[in-house]
Order: sequence, then structure tokens, then C-alpha cells
Amino acid sequence: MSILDIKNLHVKIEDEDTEILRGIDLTVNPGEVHAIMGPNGSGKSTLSYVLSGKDDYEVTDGSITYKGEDLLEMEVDERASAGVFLAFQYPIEIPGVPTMTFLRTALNAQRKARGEEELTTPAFMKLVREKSQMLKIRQEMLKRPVNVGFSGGEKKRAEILQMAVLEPSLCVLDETDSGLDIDALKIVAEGVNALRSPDRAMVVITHYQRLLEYIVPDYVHVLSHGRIVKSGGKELALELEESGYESFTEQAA
Amino acid sequence: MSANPNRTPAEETFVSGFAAAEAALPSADWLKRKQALAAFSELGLPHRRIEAWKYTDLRNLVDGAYPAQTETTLVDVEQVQSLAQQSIFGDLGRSTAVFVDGRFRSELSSLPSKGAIELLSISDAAENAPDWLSNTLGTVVPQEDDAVSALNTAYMSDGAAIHITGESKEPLELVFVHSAGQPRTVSQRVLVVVDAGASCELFETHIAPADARYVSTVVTEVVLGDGATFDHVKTQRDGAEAVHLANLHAKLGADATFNSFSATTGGRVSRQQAFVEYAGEHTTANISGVYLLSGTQHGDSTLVVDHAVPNCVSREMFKLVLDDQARGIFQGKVMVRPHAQKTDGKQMAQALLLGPDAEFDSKPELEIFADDVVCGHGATAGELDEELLFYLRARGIPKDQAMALLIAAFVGEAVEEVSNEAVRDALNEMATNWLTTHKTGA
Repeated sequence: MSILDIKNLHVKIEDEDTEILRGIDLTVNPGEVHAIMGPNGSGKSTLSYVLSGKDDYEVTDGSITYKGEDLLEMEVDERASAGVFLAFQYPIEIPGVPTMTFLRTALNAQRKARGEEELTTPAFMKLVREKSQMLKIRQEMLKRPVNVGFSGGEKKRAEILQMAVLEPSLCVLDETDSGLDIDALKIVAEGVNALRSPDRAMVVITHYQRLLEYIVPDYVHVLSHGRIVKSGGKELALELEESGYESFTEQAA
Repeated sequence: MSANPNRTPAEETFVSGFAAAEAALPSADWLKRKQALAAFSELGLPHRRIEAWKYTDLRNLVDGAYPAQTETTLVDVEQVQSLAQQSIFGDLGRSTAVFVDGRFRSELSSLPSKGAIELLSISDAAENAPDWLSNTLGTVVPQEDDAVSALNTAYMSDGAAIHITGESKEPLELVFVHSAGQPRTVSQRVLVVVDAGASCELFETHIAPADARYVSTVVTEVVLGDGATFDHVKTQRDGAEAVHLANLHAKLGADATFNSFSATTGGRVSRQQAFVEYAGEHTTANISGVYLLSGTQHGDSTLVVDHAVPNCVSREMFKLVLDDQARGIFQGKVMVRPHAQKTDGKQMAQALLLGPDAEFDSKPELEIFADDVVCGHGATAGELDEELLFYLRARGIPKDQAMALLIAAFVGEAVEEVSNEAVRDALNEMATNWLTTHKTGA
């Protein structure tokens, strides 16, 4: 069974007429990494928000099936507990909520929703320590409120730490490379690659080919004007890098 | 006294009921009940045409006769104990003084062993009071212009008189329990005298069953000697039908530290006033509080800080979370007298409005007559940030739990002002649980 099956998905912003996604079809199987590339305004972030269940977007046609279930019928937190994770392009700061409290609350809420035992504090501490070492996240960062005072790179690493702790089945990475220098990019990519597994799938949304040198995809899709205009293997990303988006976007227009 | 047609039923009952009540109340000249009653019958209950009370019109809000409670009531001891055990200070080592319906109950209390701290029940001590009690009670409170203080003085049935002569190692908790029964007014007094260089950590819990109908007046007088420290944490969890009227009057010596924090979740109506007067230099007063209100609850915090001497610091930090049609009020007056140079005063009041019909009124008043001071104030009102809520939910945290986290984070800045870490943890837990508690009525 596929992890994600998107069929003829049409989406518009609430209270507006213009469609942003105009018939997306995409099937993602366990173990696969799909890259979605496209110019600004092609609908990449909209796709990530619709998958995570953000308000403000209205699905006017089509379906999204996650592990055989209708994803669009699920609440935001239900999707997360079922294993859908969005690494945000712009992770927000949450003053007053300590990072560790946030991580523990999220993990235990997900476990509870799945009918699993909550993790004890020592077991939780051990888990976070292991995962944060891999991502070179200092313990001092974990003592701060969520993302408060973090640099751009630290925020992105914190997103991947959350992903590593929560162990989702479907990881959606929205422009995770934006704002990262090459060293930070390598650390983040290592963290992501460590999570690749035969029963987990990833959708990597990016504007640039650069990230895909480090997170090598199985499939590349080009998104333009709300449609996937071309799909192929990882070599498609290189092709794009050379010829630019223009040749594809013209086809779609 | 003859009936006055302009009086409300509540006022009439207070004035005409005095003669009969007086005989049943603790008696001593220094209590000055008659003068206080005379002052109250002049003043009546405060109403909206009095500027300081424009948001909290007691003539309207005290909606009927609440005769004064004078006698000890027969109560279900198990019920009282189960209420007292809900205290958020329960896990801390502390002594307790328990008051039920306005009377001290020694059998329910565990008083501190004699040492640096002396605690007396005012009713027990009335006839044979030590000088520190009879000479001090009533001296920090301006009787003539505050109806709540006047009413409290006229009718006080009991309370705690505390004298600290050194460093008290163990905190002390005053527990004020009210039982269900006929509508009544319960007036209690607290006097805290902290000698020079001594320190006191005082907790205060007000708790009652949801259906108890009463007006609770509590007047607290605090006198800090030079270099004294006072840490005060109050939780007001009165019943949903209760009216809570509390005045805190503090007179601070030099080099003293005064910290007072209050968390309010109870009461149909509450008005909590604090009046702080600096009598010596290099003293810091930190007044902070949290209001968590829902339904049609009305909570008013009114502060008057009087910088009468130079080189003192005042800090005020209040956070209000208002759901449904709840109404929160913050009035903060800071006076800096002409010679009170180098005064450092800051004030902040912030409200989080969870419901479209919730209301926050803020009235800062700065009266600055000295020219070399740093004073500032701020007030904000806002809603829960949808983006933050989405982020938390996108990590699997259900909506109510995500809201509870954000509420606790919002009030956390005020809770931070409490110096005792275990108390901070208990307050954070109380704030986190508040939403579920009030939504489910638990």
C-alpha cells in the first residue's frame, strides 16, 4: 500500500477564487524520497500546508489518501499522530514554552493518540540526547523556549530534531535548505538521511537543486502553475539546473 | 440608625445589622468597630460614579442582602478538609492556619512551633492582645475613605495576626474556607509584622464549593521593618457565586523586599486592591498576578503605589486570560512624590482574550512630581496566535492541550516573579489545567 496517494487535487485559498493547485496526482510508496521542485508561486508550499491540514486552504476537488485513509477528513493533530510531519519553511518562535516541554508533550500526545504508553522522563531525556547529538544541537538550545533566539540554521536543525524524535511515516520538508549555509545544510541533510528507511517516505520541496546533492531523491517532479508538468529520476534535477524552469513553465502556461 | 431609602438592600443590612452583630463579635476597644461602621454608613458601597470604582460597581454587583457572619458555623469537617487539601501549596512543607466561615479552627490547623514566628487568632487574642497587635492593627489602613476596609473593620470576626522576629524557615499558609449555606458576608483580617532583618513566606488560599453564596472581605496589613523580606503568594479560588473583596496595605521600611503575587480563578466578582507605601529608601516592591476567568466572572486588580521616599523600585506585572464573557480590569496608580528622586517604577498589564465577548479594561495612572526618575507602563490585549496553535497541533498536540500550553506560557511571565520554584511549578500546573477545568466544570 502506498503511504501517500494524491489524486486530481485542486486547492484554492479560502475566500479567493484563484486555484493554486490545479489537479495534482502523486503517489509515494514506503522507502521512497520524492523531490518537488518548482519556481516561486508554483504551489509548493500550498501543497505542504494542505498535507498538514492548515486552515485558510480549501480543497475544491480530488483526494488525498494517507495509508489508505482519507487524510482530508483528519484534524491537524490527528494527521501528526498518524505519522505526517511537516518541517516548516519558517519555523516560528513560541515564547514561554520550553523546547523540552514541547517535545515531550508532542511525543506523548502522539503516543497516547496511538494507544501507546507515554514515555517516562528518563527514557525521553535519553532519546532527545541521542537525537540532538546527531544534529549537533547543544543542550543549552533545548533549555530555551521553542525556537526563541535560534539562528535560521538552528531553527532548521530543531525541525529535524523534532522529526527524529517523533519518527513520522511521511516527512514533508518545505524548503528546508532555505537560509542554510553549506555546513548547516550538510548537518541537516545527514539528519534527514539518517531517517531514511524502508517503511518511511519523504517529500522534499525545494527551489534549488543544491539540497538534492545531499538528500538524493528517487523521483523528481516539476511543479508549475499548480500542476506537475514533468516527473523523472534524480537526473531531472540536474537537467533543471542547466536549463532553468522556463522551458517547463512554458509548457504549463 | 434609621433606614435610609437610598441604600441598597446590601447596604441597609450592613448598617442596620451592626447592633445585633456587635455583641457576637470579638470585642476590644482597639478594634474600633463603631468608628468603622460610622465611616461605612457615610460611604456606602462604592459605585461607578466614584472614579476608582467605575469598572466595578459594588452597589450593583452585591445584589442583595448578605448579613454578616458572626457565629461559628457547624460544618462538615470532611468537606472542609477535602477543600483545604486542594491547596496548590499542599506538597510543600508548611504550617497552616485554617479559617472556616470566618472563624479560626485550631483542630484543622497545624500552627508553627514557637520560634521566630508567632501566630495568633485575632478572636482568641482580642481580650488580651500583645502590643504589637493592638498598637498596629488598623494603623496601615486608611479607614475613612475605603468602604471595604471600613466594612471589614466593623465586622471582622477573626483572622491571623503574625509576628516574625527572625528568619522563619518554614512557610505559613492561611486557608480561608467557606461552606455552602445562607448568603452571608464574612470579614476577616490579617496582620503581618516583620521585624527588622526578619523574613516571612506567606501563602494564602481562598477556597469554597461552587454554590456557596457569600461576600468575603479580607483586609491584610503588612508592616516591614528595615531590611525585612516578605514573600506572599495568594490563590483566590472562591466559589463561582462569591464576591471577593480584598485590600492589601503595606508599609515598607528601608532596604526591604516586598513580593506579592496573586492567582485568581474564583469568584463571581473580585476586587483585589493593593496599597503600597514606602517609608524607607532602597526598598523594592514587586506586585504581580494572574487572572484566569471564564463565564461572566468579573476580576478587578487595583494598585496604588506611593513612592514617598527616594531610591525605591516598584514592579507590577499582571496577566489576564479572559474567556467567554469574562471581564478583567487593571488599574495601576504610581505616585512619585516631589523628593522621591531615583524612583524606578515599571508596570505591565496584558490580557489574552479567548472569547469575542471577553473584555479587558486597563487604566494606568502615573503621577510623577520628581524629575530624576525612570517610570514606565504598558498594556496590551490580544488573542491566541493561530500560527502558534497550528505549529503545536502540527506536532500532534490536540487543540485544547495546545491552547493550555499557550495560556501557561502567556501567564508564565508573571509566575516567574514568584521566588519559590516549587510554588512556580504548582502555579504553572494550575494555569495549564485551568482551561480543561473550566470547560468541563470539574
